[in-house]
Formats: sequence, structure tokens, C-alpha cells
Amino acid sequence: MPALDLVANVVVSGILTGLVYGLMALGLSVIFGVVRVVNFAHGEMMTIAMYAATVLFAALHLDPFLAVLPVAAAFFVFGYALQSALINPFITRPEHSQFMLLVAVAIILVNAMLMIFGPDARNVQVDYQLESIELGRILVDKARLFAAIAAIVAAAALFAFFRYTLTGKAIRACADNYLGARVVGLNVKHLYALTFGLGAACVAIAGCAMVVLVDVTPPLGPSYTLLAFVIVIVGGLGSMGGALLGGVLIGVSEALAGLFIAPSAKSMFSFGLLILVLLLRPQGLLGRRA
Amino acid sequence: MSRRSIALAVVGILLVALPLFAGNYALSVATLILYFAYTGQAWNVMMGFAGQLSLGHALYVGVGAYAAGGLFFYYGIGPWAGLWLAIALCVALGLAIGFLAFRFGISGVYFALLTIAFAEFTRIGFDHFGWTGGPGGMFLRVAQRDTWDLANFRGPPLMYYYAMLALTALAFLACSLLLRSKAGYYWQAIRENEEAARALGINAFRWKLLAVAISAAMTAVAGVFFAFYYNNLFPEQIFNISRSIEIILGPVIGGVGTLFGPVLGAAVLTLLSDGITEALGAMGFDIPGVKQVFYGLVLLGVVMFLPHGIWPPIARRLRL
Amino acid sequence: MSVLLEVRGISKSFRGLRAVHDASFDIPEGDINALIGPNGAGKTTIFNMIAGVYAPDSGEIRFGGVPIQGLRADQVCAAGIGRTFQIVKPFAGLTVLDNVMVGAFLRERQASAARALATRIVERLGLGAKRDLPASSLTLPDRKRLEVARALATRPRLLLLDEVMAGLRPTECDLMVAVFRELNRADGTTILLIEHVMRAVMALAMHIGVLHHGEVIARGTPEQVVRDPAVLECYLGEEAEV
Repeated sequence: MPALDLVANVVVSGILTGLVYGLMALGLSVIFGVVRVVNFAHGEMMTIAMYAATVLFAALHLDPFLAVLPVAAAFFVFGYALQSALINPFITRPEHSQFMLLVAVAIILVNAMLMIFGPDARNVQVDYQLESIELGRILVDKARLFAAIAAIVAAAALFAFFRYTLTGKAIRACADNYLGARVVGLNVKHLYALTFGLGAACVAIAGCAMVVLVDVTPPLGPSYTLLAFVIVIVGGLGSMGGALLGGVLIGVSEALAGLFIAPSAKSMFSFGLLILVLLLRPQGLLGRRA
Repeated sequence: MSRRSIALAVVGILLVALPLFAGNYALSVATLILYFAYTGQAWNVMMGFAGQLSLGHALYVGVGAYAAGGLFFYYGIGPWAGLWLAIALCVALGLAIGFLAFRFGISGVYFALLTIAFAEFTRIGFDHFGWTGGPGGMFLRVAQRDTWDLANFRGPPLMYYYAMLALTALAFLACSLLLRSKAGYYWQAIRENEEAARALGINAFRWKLLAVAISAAMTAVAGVFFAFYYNNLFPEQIFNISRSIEIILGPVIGGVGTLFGPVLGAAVLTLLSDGITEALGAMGFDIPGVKQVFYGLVLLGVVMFLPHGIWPPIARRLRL
Repeated sequence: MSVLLEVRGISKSFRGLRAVHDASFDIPEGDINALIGPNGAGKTTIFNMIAGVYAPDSGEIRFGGVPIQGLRADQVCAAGIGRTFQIVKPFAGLTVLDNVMVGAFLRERQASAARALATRIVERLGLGAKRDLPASSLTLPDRKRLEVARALATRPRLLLLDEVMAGLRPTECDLMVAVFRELNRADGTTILLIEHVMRAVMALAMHIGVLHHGEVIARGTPEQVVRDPAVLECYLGEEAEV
């Protein structure tokens, strides 16, 4: 039985990582909650963001947390374009058709990454990766702390956007009632594209934060996609708080599973949790009953 | 004889006669096409007929392969007996997933995610499952490869080709009969409008389960074939989500719910992708990932512009 | 004449909203009975309870003496109750004939027998010429006819028609009325219909039940009901002309 100290450290580490997961899932939740599109390419987008951060670091020595700005902006544009060009025209198509569309995009993205960057792992080496802060008996990695802070700031900004700005409220209106929104004259297609752009920007920030914690390889794409879905479903579709809560839960449980069972088995736990939630409480912990 | 029957007969004769003018490499490509046509057809029963999107079909290939492979590896039990265990396990698994999903009203995208979750769960599980060799894989003995040993399913590529051809033909026949039967009508009704189907006396729950069970059983057989054809099984590969996606590419590109769709889709996809890899290789590009990018682009194109697949417009043109 | 359908004191609430309260009525075999009332009166809710879409919170429904409340929709259909939907639900990807065959398979095991039954019904409903067309290509009146044909293929003793006449022009409406009259006369099919189109109700119904705010406020022959002051006040209007 590992010492309490160790467990506590692992839990804290899980919470911090979980917040970054949560931000990634937040992007997905926002996209699915509003546009009702299952973004099967979500994890791939995250992975591209991570690669982008490594490239910017290698070329310009740009710290990933500063790279957040250009990468998020680029992703916003990319997300907007993707929604406008590829998805909006197909909104009336059956569900699985849209799903397939994004499966195709995911396949293209992950293999394009393989083609461009090769299968070997890449990472970012910054000084503070090796430093930690002592909070009582807990040792907190500086890098992990920064990443979590970035996640919280981004999430708070998004939350404020939806709560307090006119555009944010308009987007929420679309989510609640598509027909009604059109009737009152909202440009739904533009708002959908905006939402996808925002979701993509979230993923970009999460990716830049994540790259200081783990190495990036192309197969991370699909596994992050699945992770994002697990989190969103566990936390509750359409609930922003749920995405963060789900992220933290998954982060902690993965960390603990890694400690008590085996590191490679940690995602098994997540999938088991997904199956349970789908069956017993499909609306998730904080979600609304459909 | 209708145009369709004649065309079918011609294709059938060509396929049977193929080994006469094809070398071993071409035969292996043809076997692969037939393998994807077969698994695509099996998947099609669940999706095209009953409307349930499964993105975790690699689960049944893997479980079928390991079941028969494991029996052979540890007890020397031949594939014809191992087949039954494979089918039984996969049907049980499929029924469990289907029961859980349908009982709790999970459909559409959520159902797809559920199937992915089960496949991934099993993949990681097998990675830690010592009896099947864990991540290091399971290697089946290959005694000899020149004579036909049907009992142990060992022999030259020619044998595997005909075996796969027979399997695909049987699947084709079975699906064709099913489509015209009460089952076929009921499944299509459920797929088109489940509420209306129920109002016509159809117990949708039971019929959906049947589709899942048949689909799982058919895919299990593909798994057994896989085990004795490739002879090495790795959880990371056989349960991988890319395998599940490969299975659906044929039917989606060819035409979900049609009989000829999976076959045509598998053929077009495999031939084109092989062609492209060859062409690129000749030009000096040997980059991993090119083939899959190509798959993705084709899939994208088909989903966007030919949502019912490439078979329906071709069928109309050829007036089949 | 024996009673085919007995509805006794059924109630249904949705999240605190009382849709139907203590509704009771009988339908004798061979009768054509209409349920009328303002929108939101609870007519479709009653239909759905009879058809097995959901169970009543309380009360009993007996069909041929056998309790059927709480049975699933497919079980209710197998028991002999066919229904159409207010918003038609054709199997869009199938042909007209195939649509009806789906219904026919309930009573016929073989595809050939099902096809024969379906063909007869399709002809009877005037869709013979269009039987190989995809259902998605039909006009609304034809889709309504298809909906009826499909339900008929299950050989129901009781046919529930949910606002079948909505959206039909008067001539089309009269054609449908003729079809139902014929069904009732020749096959003895009992019919229960929800209708707003009074033209059809007065032409078809032998008995009428009036619903208002989830309660049955009047029952009787058409002549009795149109003179009932409660009915006039809530639904038909003081000076309704029918």
C-alpha cells in the first residue's frame, strides 16, 4: 500500500492534468452541445496543436504558453472554416453521415501528421519542466501547475463569453432551439461556425498546455478523441462545468489506476466508466436529461 | 435471366478462374479484397439492415481469432472446431452489447461510442491477458504451406483464396435471402422508422438483437480465417480502432444496405490504395500513412458527394 | 352488439401536467366512433395509451375483454389494433408495396403470401398504379392512404385513425371517407378516429365522444352531440354549422 504522501501527490497531479483534459473536453462539449456534431476529429486536432507547439518551439524557441496565442487563433480560423465548408452544408443529413464526415477528417489528419512528422515522439524542453513547488507535503510540478492554470483561465473566459456577451447568448439560443433562433433572425450558420472555431481554440490551448507534460505521437490523436468523449459523456453533454469535472475525475482515476494497477491499464478504466455511464446515467453527472 | 444474374454469373466465373492468370501476389490482394468484402457484408447486416452503427467490429474479429487461435495453440484443436467457440463467444458478446444498448435506449452516435468503448476495453484487456500472450502476441504453428490441409486450414495462397471466395459467396447468398425474407423487411422497417415499425407489430428490440447476433457470428468466422491466415495475433493490431474503420470503409464507400456495395467498395478501395502505394513507391515516396490519407480522402469524397455509395449510380448506369 | 374496446377511467399526466383525467367510453364492435375536441384536449394521448405508446397512470383498457393497458405497441398491434400517425411515418426508402408488406408480415410468414395480401390492400386503397414507386415520392394524400394500407395489412379488428383527413382537400377527404365506410361495411372493421375536419366526422361517425381538458364531456350520436350545450360552448361555437 503506497504511502499516503504518494497517493496525495498522485491525486494532485491527476487533478492538474485533469483540468487540461477538461479544457479539451470543453471544446468538444461546446461543439456537440451547440452544433450537435460529433467531432470525431477532436483528439486529432489536439495532437496537431501539440505538434504546432513543438514546431514553434523548435523554430522560434517560443514557450508553449506563449504559443497559445497564435495557435489558438489559427485553430479558431480552421474550426470556423471546417464548419462552414464541410459541415454546415450537411446539417440536414442523417446523423451517421455527419459522423462519417468527421471520421474521414480524423483519418486524414492523423495520417497527415504521420506523414509529416513521422512516428517518433516529439516534445518540448523548457526549464520549468524540471522544477516543482512545495505545498506542504505535496510536490507540485511547475509545468503541470502552469498547464492547469492555463486551462482554468481559458475555461473561465469561455464561460464568461457565453454568459455575458450578446454573441454568446445568441449561440446558446441556437443550441436550445434551432428553429426558433432562425425565426428571430439569428445567422445560425455563422454562429455554428463561430462555435466550432471556439471549440477548436479550446483544443489548441489544451494542446499547447499538454505538450509540456507529455510527448506527442500521431496515435495520440484517436486516443484523445476517445478520452474527450468519455469525459464529456461522464460529465454531461451540454454542461461546461461537467466537462471540467469529468476531466478532473478522469485525470484522477487515470493517475490512481496507473499507480495501483499498471500505467497501461489506465484507459481501460476510463472505458469501463464510459460504458457504465452510458448505461446507467446517459446524461452524465451534470448534464440535462435530453 | 435478368441482367443482374448474368452480370453476377460473369463475375463469379471470373473470380473462380482468377488463379489461372494471377500470380501469388495478385492472389493475396484478391484474398484481401474478399476478406474486406466479407467483413463489410457482415457489418452491413447490423448497419445497413438494422440501422445500428457499430464502430467496434474489430472486437468480433479479435475475439474470434483468439478463440480459435488459442484452442489451436494450446490444445491443437483445429479451426473447424474452434470456429464454434469463436462464433459462440462473439454472439454472446454481441448480444450483451446489444441488450445493454437497446434496453437502455442507446442509439445513434452513443451506440457507436459504446461499441468503440467495448473494443478498446478488450484491446487493453488482452494486452494484459497472459493466456493469449499479452502484448507480445500469439504465434500459431505453421506446419507446411504447399499441400492443402483443410482440417488445419493450412496450405498455399490458392487455398486461402478459394476459402475466402467461398465464404464471401455464402455471405452474399445469405444476405440476399435475408433481405427478401420477413427478417429483411422488418429490419429495413426498423431502420427507416422504428416507431412506425413497432406500430405494425414488430418487436424492434428482438429483431435488432438478431441483427447484432448474426453480424457478430459472421464476423467471428472472419476472425478465425484471420488467425489461420496471418498466424500471428497482437491485441494492439487486431482490436485497433483502425481495423474497425477498415471494416466499414467498404460498405460506406460502396453503399450501405445494398448487397453489392460492400464488395464493390472493398474492391475499389483495395485496388486503388494498392495502386497508389505502388505508384508512390516507384517515385521514391515510401512514407507511412499515405495509404490511410488516401482512404480518408476517398471516404470524405463519398460521404460528401455520394452519400449512398458508389454502387447505386453505377447500377443505374449499367441498368442492373 | 358486443363491446370491443372498453376504456375505464384512464388518466395520464406528464410532469405534473394533467393530459387526460378519468376518461371512460365503450366502443361496440363494428362501430365507427369519433373523438373530437379542441387542440390539447388529450385525444392523441388517449390514442397513444390504447396503442401502447405509453401506459395510463391509472385506469383500465380492455380489448375484446382482455386488459391491454401497459402492453407494448407491437403487442397491441398483434392483439388486433392497428393505428396511423398524425404525422405520417412512411418507410421512405421502401416502395409502396414493400411498405404494406411490412405490415402484412405480421399475419403471413411467407413473403409470397405477404406480397399477395399487400397487393390486394394496395389495390383496394387506390394505390395500385404506384405500388413500385418509392414511398418518398408520394403526395400527402397518397401517403395518408399508404399509412392506412399499412395498418390494414396487419388485419386489425380495431383501426385507430389519427387526424387522417388533415391537409386533404374536400374531394380527397370524401374519397377517404368512402374507403373507411367500405372497410367497416365489408370487413366489419371497427374504427376509432380523431378528427378536426367536421365534414368527415359527420359523414362517418356513428357515435362521437367529445374531449375537453382531458375529460370526456359528451358522448352520443352525432345529432345528440352537436346540440349538446357543453360541446357547443367549448368547441363548436354557439353558431356552428355542420
